[in-house]
Amino acid sequence: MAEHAAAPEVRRRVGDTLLDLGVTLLCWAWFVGGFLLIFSWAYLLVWLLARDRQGGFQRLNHHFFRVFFLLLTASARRHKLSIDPRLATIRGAVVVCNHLSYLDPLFLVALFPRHRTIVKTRFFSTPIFGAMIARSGYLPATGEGRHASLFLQGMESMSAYLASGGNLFIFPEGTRSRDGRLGPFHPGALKIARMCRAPIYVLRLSGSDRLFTPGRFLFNAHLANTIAVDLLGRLEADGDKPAGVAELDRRLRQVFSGQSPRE
Amino acid sequence: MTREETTAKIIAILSEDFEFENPGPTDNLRDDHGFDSIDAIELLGKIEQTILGFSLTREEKERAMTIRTIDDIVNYIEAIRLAHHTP
Repeated sequence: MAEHAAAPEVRRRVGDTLLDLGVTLLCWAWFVGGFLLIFSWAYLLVWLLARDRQGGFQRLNHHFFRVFFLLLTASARRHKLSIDPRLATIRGAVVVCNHLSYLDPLFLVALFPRHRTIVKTRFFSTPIFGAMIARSGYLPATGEGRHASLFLQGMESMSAYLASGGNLFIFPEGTRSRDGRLGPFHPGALKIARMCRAPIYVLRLSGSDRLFTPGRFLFNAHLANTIAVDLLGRLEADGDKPAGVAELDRRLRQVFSGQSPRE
Repeated sequence: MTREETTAKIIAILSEDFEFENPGPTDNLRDDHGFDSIDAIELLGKIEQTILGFSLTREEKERAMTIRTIDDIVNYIEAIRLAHHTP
């Protein structure tokens, strides 16, 4: 009797695992095959012909990951996306967001056509991927060592980039949260906003860790889930006398905790 | 500007603009005050404007990325001044 009762549960688990595996393989197939067979030609054309190569690479990254998320949500039907419509109006800003999953940076690339971000320095030494992120104008996390020139180049052009409407998105925690709680902030995002006199937009991402949980290889495609990005607020770092980094950090925490930042 | 005046100017910049508390000439700026590469770039901009009066080259800026103390900064400024005044 017990064996008969357990059979549907086993079948359901096997079905869930097969769905997780299928969606994960589909996404990896796009990640590798979509790049090599389709997008690599577009990147090559941009590299050879575009006046603004960096901007061209950023737009291609944006479209590549839009397709990635279209495939993901089309195949993992129980996952829904909820994007705050106000995000489409953000221009010329430093965008900070909490970090839950490796999907988060890909998600923000898919949201912002003109974007830069800060990437762990070791990724710049990775074959192909390192060259792609460097040519996209992404910055290494540190200005020392062999990537110092890239860091300087990115930082020197940052004010003009933001003034022209581009966005810089950063995960100020620097690493994924394992329990959903906010970790300590690295002050880099706040320093850049202050230095470039750019506004800071604060986003809260939720649900991405339910789809791609840290420590797991397979996507949890079978779960019912909503991945949401909400605009929590805006901090001013662009006046004549912007607040100091410590004060901006305090206001940033207030925004994340749902309080209005007191200026 | 003498070495002492340059040191005083750097300390004033770090105290007022970077909000460092009582920075000393031999403090490790990274460990003791959280000084990072972004701060280094902002500080170089201020050194160009208020101390040197000319723009630094990319190579000169790259050299500054490994600076650790205020004494290092002053040594760096003196070396740059010397290089720019040597025919």
